[in-house]
Amino acid sequence: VTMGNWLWSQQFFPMSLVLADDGEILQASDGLKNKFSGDIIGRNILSVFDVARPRVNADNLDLASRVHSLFLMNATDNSIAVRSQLCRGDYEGEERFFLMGAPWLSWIKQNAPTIDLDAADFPVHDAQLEQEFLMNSQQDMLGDLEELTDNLRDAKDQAQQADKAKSDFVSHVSHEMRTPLNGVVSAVNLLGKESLPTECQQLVEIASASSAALMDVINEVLDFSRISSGSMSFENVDFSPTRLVKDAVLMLSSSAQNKGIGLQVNYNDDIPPALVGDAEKIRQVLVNLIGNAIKYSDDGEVTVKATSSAAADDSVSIRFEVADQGRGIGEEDQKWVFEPFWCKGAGLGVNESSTGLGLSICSQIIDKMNGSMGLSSKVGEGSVFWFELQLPVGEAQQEDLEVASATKQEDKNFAGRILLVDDNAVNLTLGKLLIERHGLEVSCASDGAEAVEKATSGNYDLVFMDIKMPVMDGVEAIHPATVTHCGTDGERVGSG
Amino acid sequence: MYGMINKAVKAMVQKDFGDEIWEKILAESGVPDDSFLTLRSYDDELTYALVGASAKVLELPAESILEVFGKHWVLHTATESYDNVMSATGSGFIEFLENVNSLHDRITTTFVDYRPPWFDVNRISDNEIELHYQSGREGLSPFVRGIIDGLAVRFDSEVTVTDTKSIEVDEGEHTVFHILCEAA
Repeated sequence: VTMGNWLWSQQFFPMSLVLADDGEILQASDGLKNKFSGDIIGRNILSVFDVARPRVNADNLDLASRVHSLFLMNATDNSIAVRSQLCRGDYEGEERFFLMGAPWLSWIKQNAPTIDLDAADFPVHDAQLEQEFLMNSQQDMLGDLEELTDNLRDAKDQAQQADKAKSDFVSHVSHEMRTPLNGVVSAVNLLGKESLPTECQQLVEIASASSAALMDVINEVLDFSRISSGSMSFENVDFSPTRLVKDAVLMLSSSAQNKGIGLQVNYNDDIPPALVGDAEKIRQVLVNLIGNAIKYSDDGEVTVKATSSAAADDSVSIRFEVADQGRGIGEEDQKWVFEPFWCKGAGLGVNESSTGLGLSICSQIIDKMNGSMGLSSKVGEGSVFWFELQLPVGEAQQEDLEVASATKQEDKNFAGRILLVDDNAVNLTLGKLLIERHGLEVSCASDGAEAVEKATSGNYDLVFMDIKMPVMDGVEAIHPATVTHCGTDGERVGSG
Repeated sequence: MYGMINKAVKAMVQKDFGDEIWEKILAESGVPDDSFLTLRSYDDELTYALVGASAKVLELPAESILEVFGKHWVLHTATESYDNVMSATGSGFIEFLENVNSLHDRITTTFVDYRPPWFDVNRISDNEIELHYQSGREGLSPFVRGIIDGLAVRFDSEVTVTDTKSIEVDEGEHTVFHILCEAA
């Protein structure tokens, strides 16, 4: 390269340097020299520039190993940054290194935006200006996206808050509906046990069936609301899986009988006598599946099957299956069957109704127990619904669990004096009637203070007390200090 | 680090372990949301938090997570989004490693705040190299180990890392991988 060539090359590489092997700057392009207030000729490149790329060793610059590399460097005083390529060639008769380049635009923009640059600093072959245009557009897009993301996040938060408010409302309303409906169900049941004229008896049966159906709907809505909000709690108790199946089948045997549908139970012998899990929830799921099988069958049989196989760590994998010979579910509808509010394709009869929540609740309960649930079905041939759970083997004896379960179901008669405390007059009336039917003597109180007064003067064997009450609530009424005044040494048991 | 890294961590977890596990990891990490923007620069701590939370939730050492992530990075993220650039960088395992600095150089030209690592390849024989990895960041050598595995798959090569040693540095880390490579 002659001096003439060097000057000519600056049209294409406005930011260029000629270096000696040790990095001494021998020559610089005018475009580059103009950016510095002082003279850079004769100084070492590493005293003028910080080199970002490639990685260079200040003690051994070794430029020869970096020939053809891209050099990205900024002046130590931030007066310019250069993007260049290292080359080797002749300069006025000597082999020298050349750094041929242009301003490093993205660095300057970020770190020293006040540096004056003009179009002549970027020759046509250097695409940095075009790139800069694209990067600016990209940056604008990024800003737009961030704004959009913020808006979406706000909308999501609002939607979640609205959803929660709706769930809370549904839960609250369902709860408020359940309390008086409990009164209706209990009153109608008690009425049904009286001797009534045939016509009245029929009306009572209609009222009983309708109120029970309404109670089922409300319970499903409450369960769905609890499980959706994550407030449904699960317990671990010893239970007999075979007893659980028998109980579930027993609950629905009269429904099956009324429709002329056979109800079979089938389980293998090696099912452990006791498992540990939430027996009530498992029974709820099983009852729902058996109930559906009966509901959607016009004839034939419903078979309930339980099988188990060994799993790790003293656990077993237990599988419950409910097979029917009913209407079946089409392949497309099977994808939606566990979705909430799904009723389409269920093949409901003229007088049948459904909230479409039952299977969704079941599948979510099983999911919360880390189990799995599924079905196989063919239209016109029937369905098999199943669920599998991995549960620890329990320690209780089969006989104990059988006795516990049987005791629970027995209708027993007792003798003794009961104090019933509730601020709800309907609950008091119905509760008194229900308890008296078991041969017990019942007195009533409508708040905690009255309860304490009666308990102090009367001799009661058991006190049933509500918690939320006016004047004195249940918690205060059973406080040790209050109980001492009552002169009782009875055990306090939690109530709802 | 750029959003593309965090997006890739998310994609890897979702692909290998499912959406639910990712939600658990995100909650564990304390990162407020996972709508990462590819070209936005995020604090390094955010990426480390995601990796740490992944290790906790998946009950695996963080090093293993980074190794799997390195492999995922080559075989999925880089290949799916930047395959032309990957192809231009090399057509064989060793050639790619020799040119990877050029790839990073070009990215540095454009992206501000981009702090790429530096790789030196010392050829010992035709099929044996020493790969020097130097970075201003700490703890990412297992990620590079995963990248080596990913590149072996990309170039259909039989690659064995026979030795890994650390060289003490003032800042970041410097790791040397001794690698045997047989093209399949």
